[in-house]
Amino acid sequence: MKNRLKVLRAERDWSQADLADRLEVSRQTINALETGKYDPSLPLAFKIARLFGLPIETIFQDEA
Amino acid sequence: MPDDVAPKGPLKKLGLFAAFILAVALSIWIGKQGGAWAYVGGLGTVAASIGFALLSNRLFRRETIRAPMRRYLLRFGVSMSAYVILLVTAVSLGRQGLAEGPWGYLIALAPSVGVLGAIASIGFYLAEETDEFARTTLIHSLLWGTAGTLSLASIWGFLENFDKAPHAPPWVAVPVFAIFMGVAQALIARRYR
Repeated sequence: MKNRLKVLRAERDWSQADLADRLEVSRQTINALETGKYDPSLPLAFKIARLFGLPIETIFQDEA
Repeated sequence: MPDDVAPKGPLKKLGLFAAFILAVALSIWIGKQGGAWAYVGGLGTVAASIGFALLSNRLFRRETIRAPMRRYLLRFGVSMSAYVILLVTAVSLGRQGLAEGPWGYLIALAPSVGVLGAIASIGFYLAEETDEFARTTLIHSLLWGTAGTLSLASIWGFLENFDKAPHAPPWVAVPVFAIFMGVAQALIARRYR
C-alpha cells in the first residue's frame, strides 16, 4: 500500500521521531510505514488521519 | 511522555561490553562444568545477551526508549542476572554435595526461576507494548523461534530413537529457542531497516 506520510511529515517540518511521538509509536514504525514495508492497522490509520486532519484515502492508496 | 528516557554516556557502553564479555566467559565456564550440552546453554545465554545488548543499543543512538521496552529490558536483565547467580550458586552447592534431600529440589529448581522470569518478561512486554509494529515483529521472531525449536526437537528426537544422536537434556530447548529467535530478530530488523 502506498502512502503520503513522508510528504505530509515534510510539509509540517516534522522528523520521524516527532511524528512517532505524536502517534505514540517508535521511530522504527514510522520508517517501516513510510517505506511501505508495513501497512498500519485500521486504528493506527485513523489515528494518522486524525493527526493530519485528512481522510484516510487521501493518505493511503490501495495499489490493488 | 515523561515515562521515557534517553540515557547516554560511555559508561553504559562500557557496562554493556563488560556484560557481554562476562556472558562469554560464563558460557565457557558453564561448558567446562557441565560438558558438551552446557555449551549449548552457554551459547543461548550469549545469544540472549547479544539480543539484550542490541535492543539496548538504541541508548547509544540517543533515541528515546519507550516505556514498555524500558520495562522489558529491566525485567529481562534482572531475570537473566538472577539466572546466572542462581545457576552458579546451585552448581557450586551441588558440587559440594549440598543438593541432597528435600532442599536438593529447591537448589535444583532455583536457576529455572530466572529462566521463567525471562520468558514472563517477553509476555509482559507483548501485553504492555502499544506500538503494533513492534508487537508484530516480536511475534514474528517468537514464531520463528518456536518453529525452529520444534523442528530441531523433532529431528533430534527421531535421531535419538535410532541411536544416531546423543540424548539432549530438555532444558536445552530454552537456549536453542533463544538462538533461533535471536537470528530471526536480526533478519527481521534487517528487512525493516
